[in-house]
Amino acid sequence: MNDVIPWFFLTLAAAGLLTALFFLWQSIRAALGVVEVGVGDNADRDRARLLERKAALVDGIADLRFEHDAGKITTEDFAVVDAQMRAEAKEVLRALDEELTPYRAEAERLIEAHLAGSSLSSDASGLLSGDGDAEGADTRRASSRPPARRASVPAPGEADADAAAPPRRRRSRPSASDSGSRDNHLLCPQCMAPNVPEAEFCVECQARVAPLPCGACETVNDADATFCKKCGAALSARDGVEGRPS
Amino acid sequence: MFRPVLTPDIPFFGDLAVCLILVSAAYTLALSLGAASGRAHLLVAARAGTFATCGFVLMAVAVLAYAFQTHDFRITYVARYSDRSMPWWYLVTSLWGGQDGSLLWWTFLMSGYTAALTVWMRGRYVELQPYVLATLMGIFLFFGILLLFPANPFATYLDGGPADGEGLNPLLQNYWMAIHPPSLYMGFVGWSVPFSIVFAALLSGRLDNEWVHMARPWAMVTWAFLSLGLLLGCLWSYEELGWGGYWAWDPVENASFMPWLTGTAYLHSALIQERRSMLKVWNVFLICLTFFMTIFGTFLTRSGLIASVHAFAQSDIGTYFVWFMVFLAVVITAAILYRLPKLVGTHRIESMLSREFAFLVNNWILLGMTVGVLGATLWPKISDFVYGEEATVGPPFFNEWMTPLGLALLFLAGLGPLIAWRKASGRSLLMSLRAPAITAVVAGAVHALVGGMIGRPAIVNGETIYGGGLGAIMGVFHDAAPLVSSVTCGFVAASIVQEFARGAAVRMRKGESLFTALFKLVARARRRYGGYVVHLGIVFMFVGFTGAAYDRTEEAALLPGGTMDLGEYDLQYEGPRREVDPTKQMIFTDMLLTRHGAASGQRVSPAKFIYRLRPEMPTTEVAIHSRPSEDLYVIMATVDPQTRRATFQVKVRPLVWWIWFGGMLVLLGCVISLWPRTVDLLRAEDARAKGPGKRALRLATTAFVALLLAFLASLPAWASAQADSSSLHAGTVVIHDDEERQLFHTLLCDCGSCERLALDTCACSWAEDKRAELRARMAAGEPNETLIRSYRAQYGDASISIPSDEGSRKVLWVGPLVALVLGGGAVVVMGRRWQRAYAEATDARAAEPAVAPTAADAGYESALEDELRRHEDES
Repeated sequence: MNDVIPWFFLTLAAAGLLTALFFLWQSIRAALGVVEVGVGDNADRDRARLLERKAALVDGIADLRFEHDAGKITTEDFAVVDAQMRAEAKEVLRALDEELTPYRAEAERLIEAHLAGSSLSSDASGLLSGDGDAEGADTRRASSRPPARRASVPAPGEADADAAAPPRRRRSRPSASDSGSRDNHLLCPQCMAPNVPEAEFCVECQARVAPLPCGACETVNDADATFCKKCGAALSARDGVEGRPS
Repeated sequence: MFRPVLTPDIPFFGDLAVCLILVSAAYTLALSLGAASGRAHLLVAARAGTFATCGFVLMAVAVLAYAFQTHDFRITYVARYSDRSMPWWYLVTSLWGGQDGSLLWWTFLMSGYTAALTVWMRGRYVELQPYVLATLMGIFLFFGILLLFPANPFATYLDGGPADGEGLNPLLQNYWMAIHPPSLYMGFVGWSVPFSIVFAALLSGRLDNEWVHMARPWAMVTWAFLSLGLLLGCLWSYEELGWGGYWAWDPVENASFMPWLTGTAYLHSALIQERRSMLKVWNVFLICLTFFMTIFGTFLTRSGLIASVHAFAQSDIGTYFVWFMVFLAVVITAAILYRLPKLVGTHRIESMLSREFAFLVNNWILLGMTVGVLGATLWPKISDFVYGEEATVGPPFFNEWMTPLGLALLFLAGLGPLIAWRKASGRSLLMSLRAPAITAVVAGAVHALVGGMIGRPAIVNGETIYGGGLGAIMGVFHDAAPLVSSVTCGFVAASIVQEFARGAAVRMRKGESLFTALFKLVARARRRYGGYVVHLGIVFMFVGFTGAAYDRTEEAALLPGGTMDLGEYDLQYEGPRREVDPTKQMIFTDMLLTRHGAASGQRVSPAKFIYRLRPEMPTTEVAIHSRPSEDLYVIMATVDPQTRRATFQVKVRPLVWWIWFGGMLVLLGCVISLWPRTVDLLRAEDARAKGPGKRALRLATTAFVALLLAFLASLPAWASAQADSSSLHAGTVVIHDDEERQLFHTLLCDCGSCERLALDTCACSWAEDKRAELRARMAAGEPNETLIRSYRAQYGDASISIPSDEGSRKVLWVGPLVALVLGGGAVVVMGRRWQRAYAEATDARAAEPAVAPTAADAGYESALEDELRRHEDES
């Protein structure tokens, strides 16, 4: 035992030194711009704040309901506070939606431009152009990324300018330009797996892939849309096919 | 035998590593500042530079550990804190046994936190990252400078060094040394992470709730470590004789208690910011204050500014710390002032009868306690500066003032959860209060009726350290303290149980079984219910603290065969026994224990250990016989090898067991609160992704963190399973009655070599002479007050454990009290103003014309419902 311990610490010291030198080398290479940079992308500031606010409000409403169920708050007070919080939450949801409008226009324009030069099926274009919730919108924003642009960190002063700047890549999912090479497949809005055009549900993740007709105006919407892009009515799976495959 | 390799260069390698830490930290700091101006490749470089810095720190620590293992006595630090006879594990603990090494150890733990944080931040908080790294590197630079200049652990002797080292202080050669300081350091060092996050938010101007979310897990982990460190410190000092039980309000203990208080305040007020986006300035201030307190605490411990039983060597690193603290204070104040416009939110609360307001009151008390402890800890220096005379502030002063505040805080821990967020109506609050209030009354009544019969009366003859009206008021409170404590404990325990019961009932209405309901309830809101478990642990700790009111002590000198009794216990002294091992001689004195007249066959064996290298420093090994109802605590003070006569001190300490039990519950609560959700640990994509590989990764991460937390929580259990401990403070003094005990407890020995030991524990000849003289004067009818006054006149303020309370010296307690009252006033005024702001905003909204709901509105309503459903599913 006594022989092993000093060796252990000596090895540890050497390991520390080697690790440090390795990272120092990496650091210098990165600083000089030798290696390709892959930092996570910059989340746009207002949006992050809104999403956070939404999460806090949803948490608060759920908790308020729980406290009411547990008898900690009277029904009258519950009704008042609950209504207030819901109003605030809806306000935030609306702001989140409005915030996406310029990106949508941008995305539509880019897709139109892209489709003009290729022969993508209308299924795929429908998938990529409609309204949707924040999650879906993120994916679509991926499509509008100019390919050569490198991710960068904004300075505090630049942040506001960034919010108005053209959208950039957010997730490392396949971009829309990839879809052109996948023939006439229907891309899953959740996992981007290709599905046969007549598929109702994704073969990979079971998410709905078939377009969703609106119950009110019968406009065909994206599979993952929450509201109808034409009339704004809320959509649900009922409007399409009931339930999910077992 | 291991043949050291590279021996000629070990000190050089150590110095080299320290230089490299400095260079690498400075390089990384520059890169981070560059990255802050928006260059992504510099951020990547800065992250790598951070790992490099951590690597160099690891190298420095491993080189020092190697030097210890190979007995490289050319290095001063190695020679001073180890010797050739020490086993390898004590050679490892020697790393943090002295000042220079402990600073390196501090840096090492910080590098652990930093590396973990850097890995965790990958791909998120990109805007804050450069500033976080820059702040951390700044702290590394400070410690690097300390390690290179005033406290270099690799400094060598000019003449080649001694043949053998001086050895580690025997006091430090026990298992406590292996776990208490590292844990406390983890709790101290960790605050640099939340601080760097908040400072990054200040520098970058991103002051919404982002940083609160980011800092949350780190603050909680650090708080858990700090609590564990404090608890282990209590255990350590409990098993050390002469430190006055589990907590002695020593400056070093206070230094670790203050960040705990401010950190606790932060954990509560951060909840308000998360919920209501309020109190931003306050939270920023609290984190900065907590970090500042950890630096200040290290300064207090390491600079020798204030005399302490922990007695670290006085050194010149104090100057460096002072400059660092001045720098911190200036920079923090400037940053907060600069960002003040962004920090001021819309402060509105619906009602002062709300959880938010209860949290404010909790913050107010915690800060009041911090101010009180800080003032009293610094009082010796203040007194020296103002009156030209050092004073001593002993445990009686702290106990006098902290007991009411602690009980008030405990009461809030019970009341707070009963009040709803935003607005509680009087009626529903009364409903919630019913069961806890009934329990409290029952607990009080049972205590009052039964307590007296079992030797735990509800009203005791408490002492007060003051005369006059104030003394009378505090005297009444301290007389009734056990009753107040049992009523409060009953109230809080019942309110927590009720919280669990109500929550489970809600779920059971949905058809879940009791077990499932409880499990899901906790799993769904880990932080809240973990917090309740922490509160419950604190209730049990208070039960243990209350037991101190019933402590009994008995001293006796016995020959073999002689017996002594204390209440139901009879102890028969059987004789001394000697054992020897390579490092020390051990002299045990066996005593046969009889309880209620029935021999249990159990023996207690208090002992003295005499270490080969430090024969002048024999350690006292206490024998503790622990049961939930009370501990029997036996100390052997002296034993005469010729006559075999030994002197003993036997203490019965009721309910101490519950302190350790409560402490374990506190840690369990921390584990529940911190029990990780994979989303918190992995990046969002990894946490959500499907597939066996990813699932295994998720499972492995969760299991690893869970095991780590469980291991940490179980540390105290291991510790108390061991039975021995040691102390330097020799001394059992035979004392005849309570009045004598009270007097000797107040007066401190002034022989010059055992400063701060009270006359009732100091066994030196000076103290013995003094006791004889005082006994004679007591016999002549002089009251204690006169004796204390004349003792003070003779030996000065520093010789009394209670600071003088005359004239302007009243500021010691008047100051914190005024601060507390003013703070309370401010809390109420602020509350009212915020409430008014809310009412005005509501009126303004009511005056606006109502907008008819649109189709889109209905869409948002259903989207909200979807969100709520998803929230329910996820939890």
